[in-house]
Amino acid sequence: MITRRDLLLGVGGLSALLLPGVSWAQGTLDRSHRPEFDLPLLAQDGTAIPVTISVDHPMEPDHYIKSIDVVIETDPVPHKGKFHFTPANGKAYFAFQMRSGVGGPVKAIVECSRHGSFVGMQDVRVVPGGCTVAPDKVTKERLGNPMLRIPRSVKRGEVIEVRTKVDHNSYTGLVEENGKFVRAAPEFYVKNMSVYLGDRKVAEYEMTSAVSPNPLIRFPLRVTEEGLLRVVFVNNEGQRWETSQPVKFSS
Amino acid sequence: MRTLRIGLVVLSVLLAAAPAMAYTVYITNHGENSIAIVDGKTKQVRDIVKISQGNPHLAALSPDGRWLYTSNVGSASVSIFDTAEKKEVAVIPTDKGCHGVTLSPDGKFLWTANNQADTVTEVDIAERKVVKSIKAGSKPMLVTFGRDGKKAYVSNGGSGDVYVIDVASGDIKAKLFAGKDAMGGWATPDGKEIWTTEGGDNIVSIIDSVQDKIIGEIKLGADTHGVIMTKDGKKAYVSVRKEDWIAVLDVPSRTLLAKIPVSKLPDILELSPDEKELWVTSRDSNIVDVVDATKNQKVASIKVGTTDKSQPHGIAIAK
Repeated sequence: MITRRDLLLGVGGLSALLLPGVSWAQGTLDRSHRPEFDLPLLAQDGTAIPVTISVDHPMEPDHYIKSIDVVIETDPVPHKGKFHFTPANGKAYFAFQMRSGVGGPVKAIVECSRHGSFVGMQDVRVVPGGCTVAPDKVTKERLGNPMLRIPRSVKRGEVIEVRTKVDHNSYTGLVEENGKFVRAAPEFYVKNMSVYLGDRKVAEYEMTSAVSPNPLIRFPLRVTEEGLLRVVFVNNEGQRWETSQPVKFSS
Repeated sequence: MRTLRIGLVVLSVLLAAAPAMAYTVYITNHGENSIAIVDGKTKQVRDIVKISQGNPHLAALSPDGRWLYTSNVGSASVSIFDTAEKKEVAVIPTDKGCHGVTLSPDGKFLWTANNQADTVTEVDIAERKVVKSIKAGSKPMLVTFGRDGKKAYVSNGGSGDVYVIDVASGDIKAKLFAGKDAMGGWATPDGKEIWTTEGGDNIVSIIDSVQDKIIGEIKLGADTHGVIMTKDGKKAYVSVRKEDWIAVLDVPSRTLLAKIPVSKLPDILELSPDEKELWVTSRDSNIVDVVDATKNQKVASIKVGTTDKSQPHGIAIAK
């Protein structure tokens, strides 16, 4: 039985079987590649389970965390989203809310630019029902309204936390019939978030229909230059929303 | 509706509270559909009165203390409770998930936040009917009025924002990105700011209520929830729900003055009329704590329901 302790690569034979195609780092498993989870013990709302995953790792141009991918293999929509970092993030963590139908081991696949991939896991229990929605509940109202929040006072070189959100329903389109998940409607979700500081892309988040409605996303950004911070959301039907805020150093 | 006698209730006073003036505390027992009436001075439960509606969650009191209003999240309604007669005298249907109830500053209207319908409803108290329904954000939890009553600030827990609504017209004037799980709110006595809690981001947001902009935030601990201020606007108290303490904040400097350990999972806060005692409901611990606000120390823990699943949550004090 998988415990709440993180299971790392060294005990990851089962993980390898469940997740073919993941490349494993050779040999050492050091703390700098270990994903840390902030998950509820029991999630009451399976449509929006808060997830924070972090890795205490350098974020230098030649050595940084490239991405964190979140997966629950036992869910009807296993992939919960993949966050792509750049050294400009300064730290490697992100927070979002996911759907889960039944809970289970949450797997974080961490990719280091120099050392390859590492996997950590932690269980989450979920009150059932987060991955399904009755077809008559599927609406496409109230989309957009993207927002962005950064600290008012920013110092050069400081790693700040960026918070952003967009109003958007999210549906897997699945219903449960006789113990099986079947498609009753098309998926509908925010598919991509791209973040730019000036003309430079500093982060990207690939989402699936297993991301919650109205996603609120947090991630770090090391601010070394002033400029316009822009966040662009695109949904799986190609609709686009953008929000921006100037980053200025405090005097 | 029937009154259950005090004898059914277990009272556990841990320490003798500091001498206090007489006052009455009303607490909604979400899990057993009742209102507990507690003597503020002795901390004795005087009565537990059943109401007809399901899951009374939050509470507001008329300025004269005569009428208690409860938002009944399980019944999509507001109950009007006569505190003199100790009975529910009216039920007003509102909307699904009637989570929060707030009295307008002029005392004429109730605004409820309905988190399953994504609406805010305005109830005319004299007419005892809904006169306005406004589409809010996702999962609106509570309405906080500006001091002059012209604007209402709706904390939308699901969409993580605060909607600023013009009270007269019902129009949404602004949408502010407050944070994940936006919940509690309080207007500073000078009318210049609204403080809101966002438990998913562990913060208190400070809104300039003249310009309707977020002008600051205070990072506390996990799951900031209830917020209240002293009448002079100098001190604020915030429950830090998942860390079991109450933050005492200096409002002008936005700094943390003290941490008060309390029972597990503290929810909603209310001050005694002399502001020497702070009452704290802990729904998931089935307990109500009393804090000596002059010493920042918990002095009593009270059970206010008839079962171990009474879930005391809303609280109001006659002042």
